[in-house]
Amino acid sequence: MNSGTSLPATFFSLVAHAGVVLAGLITIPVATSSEIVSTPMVYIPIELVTIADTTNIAPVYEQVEQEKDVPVEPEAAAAPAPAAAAPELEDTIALDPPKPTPPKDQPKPAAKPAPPSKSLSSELDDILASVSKDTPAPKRNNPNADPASGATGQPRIGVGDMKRMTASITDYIRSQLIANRCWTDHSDMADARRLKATFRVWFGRNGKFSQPYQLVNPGREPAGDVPLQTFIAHGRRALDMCNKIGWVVPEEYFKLPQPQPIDIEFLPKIATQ
Amino acid sequence: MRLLTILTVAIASLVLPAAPAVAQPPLQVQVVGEEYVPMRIAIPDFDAEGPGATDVARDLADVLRSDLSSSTAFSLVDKAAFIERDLDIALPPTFGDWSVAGVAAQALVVGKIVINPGSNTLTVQFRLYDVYGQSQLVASEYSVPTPLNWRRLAHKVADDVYARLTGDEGYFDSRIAFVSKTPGEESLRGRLAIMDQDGANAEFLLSGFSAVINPRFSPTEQMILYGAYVPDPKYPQATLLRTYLYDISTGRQEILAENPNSMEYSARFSPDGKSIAFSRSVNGNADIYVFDLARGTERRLTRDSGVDTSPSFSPDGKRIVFESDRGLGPQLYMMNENGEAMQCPNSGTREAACRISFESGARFGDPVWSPRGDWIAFSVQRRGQFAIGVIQPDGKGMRVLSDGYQDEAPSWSPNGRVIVFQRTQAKGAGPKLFSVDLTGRNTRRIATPRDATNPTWGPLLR
Repeated sequence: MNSGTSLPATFFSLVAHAGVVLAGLITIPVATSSEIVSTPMVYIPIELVTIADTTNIAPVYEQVEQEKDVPVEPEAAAAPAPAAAAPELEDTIALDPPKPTPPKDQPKPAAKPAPPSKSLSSELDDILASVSKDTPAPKRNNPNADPASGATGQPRIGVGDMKRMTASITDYIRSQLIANRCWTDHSDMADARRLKATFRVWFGRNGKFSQPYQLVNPGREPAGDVPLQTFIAHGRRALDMCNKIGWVVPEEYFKLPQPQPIDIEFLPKIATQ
Repeated sequence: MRLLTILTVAIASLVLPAAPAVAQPPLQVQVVGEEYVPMRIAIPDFDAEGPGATDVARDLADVLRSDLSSSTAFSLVDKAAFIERDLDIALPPTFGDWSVAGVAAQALVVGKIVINPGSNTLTVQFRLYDVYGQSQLVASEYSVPTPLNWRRLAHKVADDVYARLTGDEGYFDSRIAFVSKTPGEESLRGRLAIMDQDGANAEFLLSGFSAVINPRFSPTEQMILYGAYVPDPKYPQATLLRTYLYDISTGRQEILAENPNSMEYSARFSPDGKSIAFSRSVNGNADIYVFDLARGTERRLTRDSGVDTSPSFSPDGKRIVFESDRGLGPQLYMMNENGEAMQCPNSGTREAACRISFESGARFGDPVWSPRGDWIAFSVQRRGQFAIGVIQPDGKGMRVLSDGYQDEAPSWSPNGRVIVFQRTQAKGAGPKLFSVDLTGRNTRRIATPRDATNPTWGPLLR
């Protein structure tokens, strides 16, 4: 009874949806063609701040009553360094910084942070070597290898395989952010325990972001919350730095249906203690 | 109809495979900072325009570098590594030259000094860039009526850079008052002195007629409270302890307390600068009072038989931390400023004052509440040594920041990130001033013309 009326409705619905999807397919590649995340250069007008004269001259110390105390003696005034002289910088005593401890409840990073003297390529080699010991080497895409492959030609992936693959991918990303010192500890910030920021990223085969990353948590810039704003800026800087270096993205990532987003949550160490 | 069906199936076959790709659930990665690494910042020499501007540009950039590198937050990129040179403040830098391996600057400061030959006005213009984000973070300009004040401009620029990159207020354009001691002089003898926070421009405020103790800067104004032993007019061989309020901007001072039957000491301003808390000792029993500077009225806050001293307000002014020996030896206690009983964080009981330090065998003193509110600095004597430490207001998280032979008298920077204190490095050595970051890193000596004790860090200059 309904076949005569439902088919046109389905047709028009499909046409409408197809239109939306096709429009997206046409415009999204254009909108996301940039490989790097760049902020347009906006020059802020110079803000003229004139310091009041009275705050910029050396204090003049008036005579005080003898019974209370007397002002600076002539020899005392001559003793200090002249205003323009650089202060005598004396010895700096470097205390041993606290040794980093791996955070609890987290998968062990594929590689420990390398000492500063170690080269970047060496660090990444370590990551690759370490991960390859823990997980079987990913197979290259081969449409002919599995007759059950879908339309994308990817081999069928079981639940267990998926968990291992995603764990490997996330370990790769985390390790690079730490080993390359893109993300460092910010526990010393005011009220650091509450600070966290999550960005959504997508990777391309060239080791760069395939589209601009997005701040997903908090959902928008927190106006008036300077510590959180600064923490978010640290997160952006970490992503920009590692993107500049170039990401080593495991092949498993590209076996997942694309585009596959990854949410990276940045935390200070103190928040996990 | 058949055509319609074919079209529907064809479009569906095109659309459906693409649909799941849009809705992939994201993989989750949690990244916890493991290692503290200072931010790498590049500060090339500033451009110069006008008579004598070249020297000022060089000196100003040097002080800016010195300020920022003295903090724990930054490490300087070696100038020898720079690729792009002779930057023009009117043009954006070549970001790739600053992010390349070997330079790897995360932030870049480009500046210019202009000395107007007519008015002799000194102006500094600067831009702060996020190198990897390839964006400008700050563009600003300051001017002063004479090039002699170039050092303050350097501190102002350093404060702007520090604030933008760390989220904390800067602290470079501020001063530290202290008691200057001449080696070999009577131990109590001390003269009130002041200097920039980096040790420059040190000078005496008082002649040394009286022996100054415990100066305390106002958190809001260029005013200092201090105690001084002066000859007693009635008994010339004896001394009186007076509490003075000294206005640095005018050089005027007034006596706040001088009582023949008691002794007032350890005075410290409230956060709004309108009242002071102090100790009054009568017949050997010291209690804490609050004095309203405008009204001239006072309130007694403690009535304990022990010695209660060294009061310090919380940043909201509602609580006071102090030192008391009411238990076994000097420990840190906290109470409400209005005198009401408070819920103790450790015992859960309501008390007039709650103990917050508990290390057995240790003697705590000099508590100072951070302007940020999250920590209380103190000095502690344990295992035969004096150290500087911090503890959270609820008594948790105590840690020792500096452990010298004798470290005492902590005072916070205006932003609550750095502590200045006095250190005697060995028996018989003269006391010097040092600073340490809140994290315990970066202990540095602050040069003073002579020995120095009792530092007190003033507010940012306006």
